[in-house]
Amino acid sequence: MKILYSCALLTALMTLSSGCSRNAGKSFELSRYYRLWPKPVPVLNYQVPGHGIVRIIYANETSYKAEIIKDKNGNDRIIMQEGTIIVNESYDSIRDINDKIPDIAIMVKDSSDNKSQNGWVYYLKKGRETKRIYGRMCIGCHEAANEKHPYFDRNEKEIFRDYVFVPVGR
Amino acid sequence: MGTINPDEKIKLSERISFRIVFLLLIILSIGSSSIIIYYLISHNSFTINSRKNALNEESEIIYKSLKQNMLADEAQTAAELFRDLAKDADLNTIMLYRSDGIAAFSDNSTLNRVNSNLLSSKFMTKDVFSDKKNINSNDFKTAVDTIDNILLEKSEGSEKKIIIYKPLINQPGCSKCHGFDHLVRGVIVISSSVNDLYEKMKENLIVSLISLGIILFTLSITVIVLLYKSVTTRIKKITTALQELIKENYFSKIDIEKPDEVGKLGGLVNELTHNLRERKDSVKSISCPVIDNNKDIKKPAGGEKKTMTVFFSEIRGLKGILEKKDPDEVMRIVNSLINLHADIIKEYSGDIDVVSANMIMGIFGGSSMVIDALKAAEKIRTKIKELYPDADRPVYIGIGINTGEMISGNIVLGDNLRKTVISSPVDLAARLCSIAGKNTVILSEFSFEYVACCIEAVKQSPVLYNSGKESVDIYTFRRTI
Repeated sequence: MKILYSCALLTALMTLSSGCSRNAGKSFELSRYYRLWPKPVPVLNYQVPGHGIVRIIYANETSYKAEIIKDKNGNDRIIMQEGTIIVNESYDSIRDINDKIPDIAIMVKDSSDNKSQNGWVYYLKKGRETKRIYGRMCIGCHEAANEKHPYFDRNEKEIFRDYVFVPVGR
Repeated sequence: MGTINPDEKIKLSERISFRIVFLLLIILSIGSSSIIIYYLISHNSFTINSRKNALNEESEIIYKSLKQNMLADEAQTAAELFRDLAKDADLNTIMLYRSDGIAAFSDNSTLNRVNSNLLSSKFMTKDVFSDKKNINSNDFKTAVDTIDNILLEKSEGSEKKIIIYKPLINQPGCSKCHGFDHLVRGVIVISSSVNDLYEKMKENLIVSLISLGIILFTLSITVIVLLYKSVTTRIKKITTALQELIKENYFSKIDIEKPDEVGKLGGLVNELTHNLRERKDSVKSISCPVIDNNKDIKKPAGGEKKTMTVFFSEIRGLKGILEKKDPDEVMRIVNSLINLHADIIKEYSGDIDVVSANMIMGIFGGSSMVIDALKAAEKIRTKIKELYPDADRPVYIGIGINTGEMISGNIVLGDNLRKTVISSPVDLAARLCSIAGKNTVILSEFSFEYVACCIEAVKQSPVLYNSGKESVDIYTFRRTI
């Protein structure tokens, strides 16, 4: 009887732990070949809050398969595909490109993650360490991507851009 | 299994009623208290969470309002809006700080910086500033460092609060004026006192526990009274009846009251008492010394001639008393008087034969048969006088005693063996009984000659017997010497 109870308890614990780990805190490893991905915009040489003065942006193939749908008012909505990965390298100056290891900000589209923010999971990679970002550090600014903003095409029509400033999904 | 001394008083902790009530109280107290406390805590928690959500929403509204006005180049309006919101807040305290912890609107540094970023003097500096204090808490710094909302409960002295720290992000629209080198513009801090919730919870807890206490007290009293009336008292009656049974008092009767389990037990005890009484009555006629002397036990239906003393006692004066009693009570009285005779006759080694409900015959044998019969008569008379001293409605006896040769034998009636005597001396004894006065013992000369030296008696006029063919001297017995 004791063995039975122990087995039942162990099974329950394993189920619980597997359930808990299913969607939250999945580890992420940025492909080492991300620099082979297309760049949606040229090198950016101006500072924006939260990033460096010089930035290079890479986006994987999935990023370019954004879906454009109409909302109930007939306005366009850009929906990025699940699996979209956008990488933002930050440098202090142009001279640091290819010379220094940049700080990397990463956006990954994963709505199945129960702690994703509007379907996005944000990471910061400094050196070898990749840290997931919770809180409003990234989303606090990226909310503004769906409104008029001063970057790229400025989104004058305030189209829902799925929290992405870079006009990947045109 | 241990033995219980029936005379020992039952300890309070051993009493069934105490244990039932105690158990009920414990279970109900623990159960109800747990439910009350759980409910109040979860309700309070729910209310506090609701207030937290409200605070969150309020901060979000303020944030969006500020943002909308700022982005529309209405910084002045945004500032006034915030001041109005902070001033009009009834229950909450709303504050705005720069990311370095300095209270907003307390100097011109932001205005100067904006003008510098815009390369203009678009915003006029002020002379009048807010007098709010700066903030230097760890929670504030954490909110700025993590760029995340922090919502927590805090105690400051006797005051309990919910506080939200909501960082304002330097969004793209803001950065053109405020600069690009920082992420956090400022922090909205809203605090709300929740003392009222805890006070209310405390109040509810006290009221609930007092109410519970009253309910438990009332329940306890009710259960105790119910148990006492329905069970304890009735069991006591059964216990008393059984104790009487042990003392060979077969006349006690238990009032059943209700046909429940206890009533059934009482009924069974009544039946047992009745059966024991009948059984005792059926063997009353046999007394051990006479049987031992007789040896008739080997020839149950046999008889022999021997000199014996016979004693007749008539109980008189019952009619008036018995008419007013119920049948059970009547039989109880009759039985008690018959048993009185039986016990005393047996005490003096006699046999008893009940002739009728008010006539008892005693048979005495052996060398001291006459004195035994007289002692028995004397004791019976004394007991009757003690029981019925009422001069107006007395119960009294008349006793007649005679000695002579008589046929003594056993009458076998089914499984019962009864000793009896027959002959003319028996008839004389019955005759003497009939003429005996109130509480008077008459003995014949035949008996007197056996005990003349040992008793005090008064000679009376002779009486005729045997259809008037013979006469006999009689004596009124006073007492044994």
